[in-house]
Amino acid sequence: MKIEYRKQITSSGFWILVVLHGVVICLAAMNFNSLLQNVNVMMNNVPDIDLALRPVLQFPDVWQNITYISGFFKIILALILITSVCNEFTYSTARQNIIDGLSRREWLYSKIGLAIALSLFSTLLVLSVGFVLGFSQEVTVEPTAIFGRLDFVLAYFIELLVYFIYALFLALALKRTGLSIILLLVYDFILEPIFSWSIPEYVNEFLPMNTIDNLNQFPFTKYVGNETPSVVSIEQLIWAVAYGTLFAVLSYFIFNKRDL
Amino acid sequence: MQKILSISGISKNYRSVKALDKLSINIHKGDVYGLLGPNGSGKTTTLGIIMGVTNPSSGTYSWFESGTNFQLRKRIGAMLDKPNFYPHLNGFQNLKLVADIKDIKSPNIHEKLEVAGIAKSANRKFMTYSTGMKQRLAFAATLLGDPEVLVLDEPTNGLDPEGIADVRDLIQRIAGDGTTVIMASHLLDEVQKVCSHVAVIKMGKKLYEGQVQSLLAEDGGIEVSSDNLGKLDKALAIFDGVDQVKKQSGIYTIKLKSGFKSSELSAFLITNGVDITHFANKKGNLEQEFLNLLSQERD
Repeated sequence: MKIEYRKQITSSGFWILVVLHGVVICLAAMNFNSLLQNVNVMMNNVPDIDLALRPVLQFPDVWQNITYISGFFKIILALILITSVCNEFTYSTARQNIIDGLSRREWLYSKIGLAIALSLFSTLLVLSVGFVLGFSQEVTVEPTAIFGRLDFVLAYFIELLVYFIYALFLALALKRTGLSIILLLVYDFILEPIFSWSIPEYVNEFLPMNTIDNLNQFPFTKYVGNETPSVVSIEQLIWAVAYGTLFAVLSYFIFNKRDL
Repeated sequence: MQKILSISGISKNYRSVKALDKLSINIHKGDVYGLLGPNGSGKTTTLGIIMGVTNPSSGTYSWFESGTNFQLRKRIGAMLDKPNFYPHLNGFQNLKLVADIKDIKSPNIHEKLEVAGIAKSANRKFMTYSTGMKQRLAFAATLLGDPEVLVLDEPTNGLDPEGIADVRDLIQRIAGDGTTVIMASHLLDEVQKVCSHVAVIKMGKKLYEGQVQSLLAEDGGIEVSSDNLGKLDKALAIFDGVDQVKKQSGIYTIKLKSGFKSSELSAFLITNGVDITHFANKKGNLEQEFLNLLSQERD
């Protein structure tokens, strides 16, 4: 981690993306109600509901709502990981790191360390924003309400970590920044949705991106009485961790077998 | 003497292309070892394998008689092909990173930058460096932690004549301190000036391995001239040991068959009444020997 820290600490690209991610989440928090309304209309179109009148920012609902919204911005931090890995190939610095005495496993661990650090940073930010939003509501709350649904924050951390390891895997496989970002987006928004249509729903929900995204499911239908999961599914969590492990193992396999 | 590196039967195939063909090399402590070969002969592939960045198709190698563990590479300073550093970091920060990877507690970075002649630009970002400055920084990186072995691939590439002379002096100085140096180059003059041992490889096969001096002494020939070239011609025609004679401007360069000595030739010529005006064992130069080895392989 110390080595990865030295690589990133003076990188302007790293700081631009970290700050952008932070700013976007804070902006989203400041305009939460209108944003939720837009997302609601865009994603599931429940037009009868005015979210401004619902307890979306109160504990414990705020945890599910803010982690769901913040999940859209994970792509910004994934770009850090992709550019970091691909630049190591462009400038042959991964090769030089190994020559200088790093093992391939250590090199990969340092990148997974970066993924963990980014996930932790975003999770802590979301946690802070959640507390600010929750306490800003003029409602008396019990500690059980405040801390009762923090499992969504944990799920957010897992969601980010698995997504970043997936991004790391793509970057290692393709070695080109542009190509990796395009495939990340194309698979997430085009290929997997197309694939989803052609397979049964019970299989569909276990596709990689669906598994990651479903850790924090679309929460707003519950306000119109629809059945909406308001707990983190352990099964989805296990699948997500399994995917994360698979991508990490595949990354190691690719990096270990390749001539640098 | 301790074996620093032993390469045993290493082959490397890139699909149908055989880059290395059962290459075996032994390098001992204190050697300044040159890997010599034309472009595409497998020099860089060999260095890539021993530095852990290229996977061999078959064969093994061992550093310090201890195997291939990555920790062993921390005792080696290596610069392969081109200088590879983080463009957004300055020279000092890049070397600090290398020192961290190598677990060097007191890296003396400023001293190494000074030695490599790049200290004044230590605070400039690597992306602003010229080719020569990049090469000097890479050289400074190889010196961090006073490694037991230096592995250099074309170390004078991109340097101006002054830089080339500096690097040569530096290599000789470092080698003088007992550091083992392994250097790939296609610059024959460079290898001849710097190296104690050499391996000549072509198309992944080793054609020669041994001391540079032995290679040069092996086949230089004997230069002979005389006031009476006719007599010299007649004498050479009846001397059994003559393998080859080249005549140029009245000077004959004679190569003897194996087992014959130059003293036997001089005695024979004198006995046969040849007035010798010039008789010298000619030292070969590496370029000639290199070309000879390559042409023998072609035959």
